[in-house]
Amino acid sequence: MMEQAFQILGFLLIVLTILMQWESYVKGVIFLFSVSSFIVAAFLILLGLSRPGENYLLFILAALTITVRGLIIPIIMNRALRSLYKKPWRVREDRPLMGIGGSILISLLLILVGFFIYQNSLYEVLKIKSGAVPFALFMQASLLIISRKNAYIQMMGFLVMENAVVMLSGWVFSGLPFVVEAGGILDLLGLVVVSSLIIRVREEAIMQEGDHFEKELRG
Amino acid sequence: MLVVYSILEILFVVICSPLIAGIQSRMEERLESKQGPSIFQPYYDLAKLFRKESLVPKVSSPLFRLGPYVVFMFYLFIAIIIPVITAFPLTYASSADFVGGGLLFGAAAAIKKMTAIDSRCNYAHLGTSRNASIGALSEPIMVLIFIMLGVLSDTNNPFVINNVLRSSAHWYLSLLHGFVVISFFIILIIETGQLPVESHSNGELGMIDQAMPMEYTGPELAMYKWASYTKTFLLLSVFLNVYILPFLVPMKPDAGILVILAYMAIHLVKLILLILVFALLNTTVSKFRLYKNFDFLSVAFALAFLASLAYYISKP
Repeated sequence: MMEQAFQILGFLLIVLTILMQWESYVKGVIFLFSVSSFIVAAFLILLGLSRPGENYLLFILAALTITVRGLIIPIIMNRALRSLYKKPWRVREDRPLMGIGGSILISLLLILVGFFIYQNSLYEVLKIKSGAVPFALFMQASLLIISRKNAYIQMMGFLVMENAVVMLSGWVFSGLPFVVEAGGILDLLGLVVVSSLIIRVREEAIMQEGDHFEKELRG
Repeated sequence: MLVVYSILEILFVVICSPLIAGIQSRMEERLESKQGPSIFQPYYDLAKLFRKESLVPKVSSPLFRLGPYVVFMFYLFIAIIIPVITAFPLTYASSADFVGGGLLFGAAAAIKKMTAIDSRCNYAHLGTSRNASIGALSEPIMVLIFIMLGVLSDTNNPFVINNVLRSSAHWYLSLLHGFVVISFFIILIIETGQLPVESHSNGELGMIDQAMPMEYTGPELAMYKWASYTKTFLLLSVFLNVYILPFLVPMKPDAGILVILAYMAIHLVKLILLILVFALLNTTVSKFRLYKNFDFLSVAFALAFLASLAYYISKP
C-alpha cells in the first residue's frame, strides 16, 4: 500500500516536471514547482508513517518543505518578477533552445536513462523499483535548465533537482542528522534570495541595453 | 436475440448521435448566458440538407459523391463491434478487435481525406494537410494506448477490457489506467475537434476538419455531418465504456431487453456528463496556435509512455 502511494507521488512529480517543460510562462512554472514541493512534503509524511522510529523528524522536514519550498520560495520568486516587470504574468520563455515537443520527448528518454542508472546501481541494495523516480527527476530537471534561456526557469530547474535530492536522501540515506537535512532546506532560501537579486541586476542591464539600442535605431 | 441487440445498437448510435451534438452546442451557448439553439437543431439541419440539391465540382471523380456514404457505413460497422449498449459481444463483434476498430477509424479518415483532395478545393487541401499531420502523430499514440490496455487485460478485445476494469479495483485504480485515461482523453479532444485544439469556426488560420468538406452540398454534406456526429458518439462511448466508466453496462446476454433499454438511458446520461466537460472546456479554454497542437500531442505521448513505465514498476 505504502509502495503504491510512493509510486503515485513519484509519477505525479515526473508529470509535473513534464508540464514544466511544456509551460512557457514563468509564473506557471513557479506554480508547478510549488505544487511539486507539496508532493515532496506528502512523500516525507508517508515516509515518516512507514518509519515509526524517526517519524517526528520527517514530519518536521515535511513542514519545513511546505513552508520554504511550497510557500516562501514561490512568494519570493513572484515578488522578484513583480518588481522587475510591469506585467509579470506575461513573462515567458519566448525563444527556447529546442522545440517544446522535442524537449518533452528528450525528457522521456532521460527518464529512461534515470531508470537504467538506478536499476544498475542502487536497486541492488534498496530493492524498491520506484526508487528510480528521483533519478528520473534529476535528469528531467537538468534538461529544464539546459533547454531554457530564461534565468527564472533555469533556477526552477535547479530547485526541482533539489526536490529530487530531498526525495532520494529521505529514501536512501535516512540516518542523516536532522541538522544537515533541515540546513539543506533552509540554505535554499538564501540561494533563492541571492539568485533573485543577481537575476534582477542582469535582467535590468539587458533591458537598459535594449532601450539603448532601440533609441539608437529610432535616431 | 444478439442480432436484435445489434440492430438496436446501430439505431441507438445513428439516431442519438445528432442529439448529443445538439445538446453540446446548447450547453455551450447556455454557459455563455445565451439562449442557444434547440437541442434538435442538428436534426433540422440534416433534414434541410437532405432536401437540397447536390452540387459536384466538375473536376472531381465519382469518389467525391460516394465518399460520405462509405464513411458513414464504416462508422455503422464500428458501432456493432464495440461495447456501446452491452458489455457482452454481439453477433459481429468478433469481426475486429481493438486494433481492428482503430484501423476502421483510420480507413474512414483516409477516405475522408481522399474525397477532400478529390474536391480540388484549396481550403479542403489545407484542412487535409493539417488533419494528416496531426493524425500521423495521434494514431501511434492511440496504438500505444491500445497496447497498454492489452497488457492490462491480456487481450485486445474491448469487451474483455471492460469486464477486467469493472471487476478489478486493482487495475481500475492503477497508475497505468490513470495515465491511459488521461492520454486517451487528449486524443479524444483532438479526434472530436474540441478546444484547445480546434474551434468550430471557418477561420482560415485554425480550421482543420471544417475545411475538408468545403465543396460538399445537399445530401452528401448531410451524410458527411451525420458521419461526424456518429464518429464523435462512438469515440465518446468507447471512452466511457472501456476506459473511464465501464460500470452498469449489461454484462450477460440473458439480461433482457428491458435492462438494455434502461442502460441506453443511462448511457445517454453518461454521455451528457462527458459533453458537459467538453462544453466547459470549449467555453473556458482558448485555442492553441496550430503548431502548438503538436506540443499537446507530445504530452499525450508522454502520458501513454509513462503508463508503460508505471506498469513495469508496479509489476511484482
